[in-house]
Amino acid sequence: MIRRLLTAILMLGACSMAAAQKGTPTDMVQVKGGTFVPLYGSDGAAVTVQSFRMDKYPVTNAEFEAFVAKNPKWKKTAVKKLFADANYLRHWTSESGIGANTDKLKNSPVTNVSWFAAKAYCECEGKRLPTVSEWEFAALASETKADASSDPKFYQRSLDWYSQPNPKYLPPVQQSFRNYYGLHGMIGLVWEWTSDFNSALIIGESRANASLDRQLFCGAGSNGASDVKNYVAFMRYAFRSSLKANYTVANLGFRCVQDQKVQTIAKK
Amino acid sequence: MKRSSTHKLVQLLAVGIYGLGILASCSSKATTNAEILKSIEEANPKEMAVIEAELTDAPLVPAPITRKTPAKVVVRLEVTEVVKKMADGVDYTFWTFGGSVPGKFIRIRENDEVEFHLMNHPDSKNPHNIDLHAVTGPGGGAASTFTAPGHETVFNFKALNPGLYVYHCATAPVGMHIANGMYGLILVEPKEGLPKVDKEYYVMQGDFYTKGAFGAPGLQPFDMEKALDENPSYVVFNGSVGSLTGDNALTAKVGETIRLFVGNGGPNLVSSFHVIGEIFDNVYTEGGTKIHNNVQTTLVPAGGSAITEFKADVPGNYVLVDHSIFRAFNKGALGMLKVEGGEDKKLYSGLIEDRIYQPEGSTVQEMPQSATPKAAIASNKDMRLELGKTLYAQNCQACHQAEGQGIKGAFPPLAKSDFLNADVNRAIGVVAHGLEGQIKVNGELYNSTMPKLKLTDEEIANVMTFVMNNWGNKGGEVNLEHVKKAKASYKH
Amino acid sequence: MMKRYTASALLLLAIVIGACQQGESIDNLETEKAAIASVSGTAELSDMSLYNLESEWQNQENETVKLQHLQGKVQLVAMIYTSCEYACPRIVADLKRIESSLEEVKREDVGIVLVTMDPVRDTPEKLSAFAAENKLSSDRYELLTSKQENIQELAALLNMKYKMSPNGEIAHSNIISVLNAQGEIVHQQEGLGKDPNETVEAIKGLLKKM
Repeated sequence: MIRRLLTAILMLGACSMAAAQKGTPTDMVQVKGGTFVPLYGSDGAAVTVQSFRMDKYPVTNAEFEAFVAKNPKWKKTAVKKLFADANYLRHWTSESGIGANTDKLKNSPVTNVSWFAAKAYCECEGKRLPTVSEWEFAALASETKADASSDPKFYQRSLDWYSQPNPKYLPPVQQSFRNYYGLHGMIGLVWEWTSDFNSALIIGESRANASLDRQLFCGAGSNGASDVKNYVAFMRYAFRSSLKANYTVANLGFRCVQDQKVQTIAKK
Repeated sequence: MKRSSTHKLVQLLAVGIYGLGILASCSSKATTNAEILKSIEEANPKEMAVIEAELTDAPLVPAPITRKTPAKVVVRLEVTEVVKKMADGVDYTFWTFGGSVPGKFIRIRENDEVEFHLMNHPDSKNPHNIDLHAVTGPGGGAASTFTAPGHETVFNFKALNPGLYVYHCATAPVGMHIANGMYGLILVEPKEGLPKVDKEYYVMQGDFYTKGAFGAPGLQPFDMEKALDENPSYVVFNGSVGSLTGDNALTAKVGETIRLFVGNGGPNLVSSFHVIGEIFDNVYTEGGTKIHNNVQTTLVPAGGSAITEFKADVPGNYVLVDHSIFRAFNKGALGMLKVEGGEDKKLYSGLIEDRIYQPEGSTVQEMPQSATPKAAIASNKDMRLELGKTLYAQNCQACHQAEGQGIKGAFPPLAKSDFLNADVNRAIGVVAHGLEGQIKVNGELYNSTMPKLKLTDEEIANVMTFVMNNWGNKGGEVNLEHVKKAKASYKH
Repeated sequence: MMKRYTASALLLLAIVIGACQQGESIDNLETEKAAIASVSGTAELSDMSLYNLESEWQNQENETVKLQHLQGKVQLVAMIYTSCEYACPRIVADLKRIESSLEEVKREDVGIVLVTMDPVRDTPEKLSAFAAENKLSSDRYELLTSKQENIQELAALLNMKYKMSPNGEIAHSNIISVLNAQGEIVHQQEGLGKDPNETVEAIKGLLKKM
């Protein structure tokens, strides 16, 4: 029994520190559950999202650097191509760290990370990647409203950001737009990985998505978008569906979430 | 010729190897084997040559194809999202196939087998794909080319049908990707080739939807509501206002034959393509195989094309327009072809006589420009020059030209203009109230009507300051006081 | 004239190739060695091998296994769930169709793996029953289940798109993947009822190399 515990501790090893911080997640905020209608996948029906905790900021280069230091298999040179493609951490100039541009990049969101790398990071923190539904639900918020989906100003701002090419250096996470929940940069900073990014049954030939081929997808039924005027959601779903799990992209980062339940247990 | 010389090469090689073959070791032969195989491949006419496609930016077109056999053509097209000029003082974030709008011109031959590479630049915000109307297959290639930023996809197709085809991005939201400039043309030359002409150009129309009205300065975002209402702020050739005027005008010499590859990316509008003062001798209607002769205006559907051919018989400036004419004069759909060379008075005489004819009296037209550009207030002369430059490009340049040179016989010059420099107040009055009747400028008679421009006093001051300080005019600053005074004293 | 040149070139080529027979057979020997090394399972996993996944799985016999035990054989992999009424029976039919085109191939060279997307309902017992029902013999078919997150990882690597509906149905893409002996994806057949020819050729190509 003791030996088992010991192995467990050893196995956790590098990640244990983060797990210890679980009780007081000052770097997280609560997102109160509710319902919303996603663009795809529910045939226009509302989907319920349970309350959850979400990182205030996307994970930064400095945070990811610390993770890599503790978990050398996620080093640029060590990572298996199955888990991250050739552009993995391309913007880092040194083998195991940010390198030359540390000052400019340390507080900016980490990008060029694969789904596997993002997932490993969150697991290490005792957290997980958000689901598409959780992420979309939290992203509905403007500065003042939990659901700003019908606010034309908020909508236009999102659309404007999605239309701009990447800046040379992404700004520090603290400087980005803060929404109703206290989440920074949900819109306007980077795209973000979700755990089930591959759950939207849409294909690259987006004009065929309205009536999907039954040969390609089982059980997809009618798969029309719930709101054909929601261009910002279209762009997010299109982006996700262009990904594979080992892809790394220059404006794709991530943040982690935690179930509310875990929190209450931790508090006790 | 070529074939037989390749065979000779094979023979020579073979003899050489025969000599070596008996003695030499296997290790050295490994390479020789490969060489022989290669030369046999080359000698075999069934094997296709592999060619890297030459791609060009508008208005240029790759050289005509002289091959008599199909080839394997490798096309590499890179998607980038870039901020570029939409009009003077107005920027827009264009999504492009190859760095500008329209996308690179691709030229292949019927029955070519194309290996198509679509690269999405790592700095792109969005995934993209490509639907080439020249492709027979699901999505025209879109199903196989969905490409995340920093990735590259490859697919092959065979060019079964000759013609001039549009290509465009088809990623959701499709309309927005096209509205941001993601379209271009691919020409599949027929087996027998196209008849030889002297000049070939690439012109593609597109409609753009910006938050601000036509001319509103700064980086303008995409306006989804306007796009849904099909109410563009800009309708332009080759991606921006002025892309085919002034120094960018197309050129030809008298006697030359000209072929325009005309496309329309839309996303919404159908173009009534017309060249003022020319008649198309041939139009390959809708980019297909049927040729219509003697056409004045040809329809170019959104997502469609036309090939027009004509001979430049008479020197002068020929204006390319979408003859849905408000688009030309108020939204930017205007280009120019300059034809230089000797005149033939039998074909076109120029003005012979000019006399008064006034059955009912004439009135000055008001220019129906609903979207008054927002006037910034200039605090000094430099600002006036800056703002005036943009105003000039938007309101004056179509007639008076980029360098104020005017168009002889039609629009008087502003450059080194004796009429202008003699009386600045009169000129201000002309801008404010319009002008009709005959005037003499630098020795030439002009008798056309200048419309009354809907400009504020501030804007008149700016544009006049700009004009007075350019092209050899006498300089100085026109301020609000001058404008007010001049307007009052030069009323019609 | 031309014919003569070509003919003589070909003749010479034949002679030269003949002389090199020995060299070629050495090459073959090397590949054989490599194949043997990979079959033995001691070879280091390549970067793109799915067997890099270290997760644990249960098969229809309720044995706990790692994916690496699939190494050394060509494997056909598809994802299903046993309560599926529309596509999954058809995927199994497609697999059988491919299998029947491989009759001359030794059974021990090609395995077929079915991975469930529904670990809650598809217990090893349920998988075993499904195998019996569909006459999937255990010397060729292995049915696997694991924790949801392990399944999600494998699905991501197989380029599967899938989504659980509240009513218990799973909407999913239909993909049959061919893995080489090292566990790398070499071919994917997307869609139901496809002509299996390309997939069969891919398998035969791999077997030739072994």
